[in-house]
Parts: sequence; C-alpha cells; structure tokens
Amino acid sequence: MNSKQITDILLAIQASITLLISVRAFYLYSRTRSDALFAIGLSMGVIGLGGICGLIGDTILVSPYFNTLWFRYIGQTVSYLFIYLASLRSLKQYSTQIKQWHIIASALLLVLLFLTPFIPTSSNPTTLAILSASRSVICFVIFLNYADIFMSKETRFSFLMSLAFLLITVGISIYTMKFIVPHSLSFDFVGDSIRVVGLVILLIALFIG
Amino acid sequence: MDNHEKLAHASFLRANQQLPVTLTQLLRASVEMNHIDEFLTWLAYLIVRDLNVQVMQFWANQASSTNRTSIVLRATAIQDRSLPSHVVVNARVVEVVEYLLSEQRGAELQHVYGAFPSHQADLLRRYGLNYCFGHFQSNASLLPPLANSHPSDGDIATPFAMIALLFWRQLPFQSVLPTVITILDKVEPAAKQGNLLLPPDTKVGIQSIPSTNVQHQGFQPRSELIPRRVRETEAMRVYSPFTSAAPIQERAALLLYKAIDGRKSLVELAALTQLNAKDMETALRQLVAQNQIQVCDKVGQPINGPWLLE
Repeated sequence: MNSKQITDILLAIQASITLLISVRAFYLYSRTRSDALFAIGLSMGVIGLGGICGLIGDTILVSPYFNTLWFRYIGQTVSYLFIYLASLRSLKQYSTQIKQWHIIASALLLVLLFLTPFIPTSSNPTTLAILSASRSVICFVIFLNYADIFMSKETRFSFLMSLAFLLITVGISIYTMKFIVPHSLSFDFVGDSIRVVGLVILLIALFIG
Repeated sequence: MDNHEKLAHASFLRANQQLPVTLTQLLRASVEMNHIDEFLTWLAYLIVRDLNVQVMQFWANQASSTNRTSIVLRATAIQDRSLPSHVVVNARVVEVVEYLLSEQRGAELQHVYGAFPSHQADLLRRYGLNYCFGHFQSNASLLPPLANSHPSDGDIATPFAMIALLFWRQLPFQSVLPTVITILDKVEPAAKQGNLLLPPDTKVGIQSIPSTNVQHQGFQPRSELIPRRVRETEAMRVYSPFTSAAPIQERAALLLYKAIDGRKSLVELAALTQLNAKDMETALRQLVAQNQIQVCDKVGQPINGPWLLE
C-alpha cells in the first residue's frame, strides 16, 4: 500500500463519518425542525462533500483542472464556523437569520466547487498553509468554547466535543506543517490519522452525548 | 464573599424585606387560583426567584380508587431551565420522598450525599445541586387529584401529606431556612382559605372534587401563552441535538412541535397547524408529558398546572 492509498483511505473514512452525521442530522431535522440539527447537517454535508471531491480528484479525475483544495479548505472553515455559531447560547435568538446565512454561504461554496475548472490552482505553499490553517483556528475556538461549557456544566457531550475538536485542531495543524516543512510526508499521515480519531469522537459525542 | 455569594445575599435580603408581602400574596393567590397545583407551582417559582433556590418541588401521596397509593410531583420550579428534569425527578428521588412521607418527617439541610444514594448524589452534584432540604407537612384536609389527571386514572382525593424538597448550589444563608419554613407553614392554611383543599369529611371520589370539572371544559388556549422547546436552548452546548431531539411519533404532536418557535402563541399555532381543539389539546398534553416543551407566559416564565384546560 503506497502513501497515496493510505491518504485516500483516511480521506474516505473522514468523508464517511461526516456524511453519516449529516444524514442522521437531516433525518432528525425533518422530524423536529431543530436549528442546531440543521447547522450540523449542512456543515457536515459540505465537509463530507469536500472529502468525496478530494477522493474523486485523487482517483478518477486526476487533472490540474479539478483542484478542489479551495472548496475543501474554505468549505471546512465556513462549516466549522457555523457549528461554532450554533453552539453559542447568546446567538440562539438569531438562529433563523444564522440559518439563512448558512444556506447562502453553502450555496456560494457549491458555486466555488462548480467553478473549480476555472479557478487557478495555487502552488504557493504560504497560500495553502493559510487556507489550511484557517480550519484549525476555528476548530481551536470551538474547542475552547466546549472546554468552557464543560467547566461549568460537566456534561459528557461538552467533554467529548471539546476532546474531538482539540484532536481535529491538532490533526489539521500537523497536516498544515507539510506546506511549511518540505519533504515531510509523515505530517500528512499523522495529521489525517489524528483528525480521523477526532471525527470518531465527534460521532460518538453526537450519537450518545 | 465572591460575586455569586453577594448576589445570593442581596437576593435574600430583598426577599426577607418582602416576606410580609409574600405571605399576603400567598393568601391572595390561594383565593385567585383554581387548583392546588397551580397555587403550589406559583409558590415554587416565587421561592426559587426570591430566595435563590435552584430547584423546588412539592411531592405528595396520591391515592386511587383501586386502593393504590403512589408518590406524585405536584409542582416544581427550576432556576436553570437547561437542567434536565430526570436529574431531580427519578426513581431515587421518589424513594427518598416516599421514605420521608412514610416517616412523616422532613430532612434537615444537608449535603446531597447525606440524603441520597451516592449515584444520585453524584448526578445532582454534576448539575451543581449540592445541598438539599425537605419540609414535611400534613393535615386532615384532602388534596384533590392532580390538575392534569384524567377521570379514567381513578385518582381520588388524598389526605394532605406533602414534602417540599429544595435544592441549592451553595449552602444558603443561615436565616434563609427559617424564611422558607415560615412560608411553607402557611401553605396549608392559605390553600384551605382559598378552597384549594377539600374538607376531611368530603366524600372521596373523583366526581366529588369540584376542581376536576375543569377537565370537561372546552379547550380555549390563552392567547398570551407561548410554548417553547425545553432542550432547544442547550442543544449543541450541553446535550447533543441528536439525543435531545427525541422522535415524536404522534402526527399531531409532531406537527405542533415543528411549528413551535418560541415566539408564536397557542392561538397562532392552532391557526398555523390547523389542528382542531381536541387534537391541539392532545398534542400539547403529549409534548408536555414527554418534556419536549414547556408553556410560558408572555414574560417567558414557565407555567404549569391547569393551563392546558383553561
């Protein structure tokens, strides 16, 4: 098994977990109309779609014109941002407006995805590092938020969520190092593996928390 | 003294200054209210608000026409609306209340580990409920069945024996407890004055209890009452939105639940969902019973009691 296959397997696992969460969230949303479920469903759906696009780009459509990195990185940053907003108590009263903004942002992301063949591919490592790191910044903010909730409420859900987002933050941060440190394939594997563990904990948090 | 303690102290001082007003209110409220549960709920909220109590519950015996006696929660008030009800309403709490009722005594102010089994005490502590106090009172008067009991339940008027259970986050100030006891001791006389209790010689049976007649009245929701989803505010924060969104099986209840946005009143919801009065009442009852929603007044204060039937 070569390094590309390992990366693809990790990508497939990540996409499966996020899509599973998305499907479950939308199923429950159809029965409850909970804004929190909508935020989770749409965010995880976009992240999962990014994962599938990454897999397709690595396996079927190997072409410089199918560079989904912009969609994947910006999509994850935006999606995690809306998960963060959904977890803020002070914004619950604005949940309807946030939902509308979430739909608009996701629609724009889809436009970005369809424009992929026309978007110039960037090989500038600094640009890629900034795009990738932006995901870990928002995940770190989510981690801090859940850690704060756990300190006051001590619930299993807040503990698991803080742990999940800590691991996702660390995973993305390590992965981002590959754009800064040359010839460092191990950052790729270690980063993705930690992120998978983080996503598994996120899955557990949502299903049993 | 930290900020929280200062706040609690200020709250207590204010409540202590208002105590005579509270007792006057108690007597007036008992006359104005239609059912003992409505009165107890009102009082519980008053104590929670003014004496900085985190949770207050009124538990009592409930006899049935089949000679069975059970322990029922007559009223409850919770300061933090995000607190899951199962933390303070569960079999372990019922066991302790049952014991106190059978012994006909209260429980002194103590740490929850002194009053409850360790796993229940752990649960209470996890939610910041560290101290508790139980106040027992009884009388020859009869308690009418629960406001939301149905004639088919077979509930009958039961000799008045009640435990008021209070939970605090922090040890309350020394003079809080006498204030609480003073107020609770006035419950029975005030309820009697308001005809919320039945005289001891009342013929025991559901048909003999005037308050249950309300159950046969038509459904006329008050326009200002607003149902809210109970766990929505803490979904994604304290609980997973997956587990807090328990599937609702009944069609009418689901339709109503979907329409509840925390802003629309019962009248608006009835118009929006196009549910008839009977379906609306059933759906509301189911959602309240499943702890999916609570009904609030226009200032956002949750209310219990016979509001469903008014």
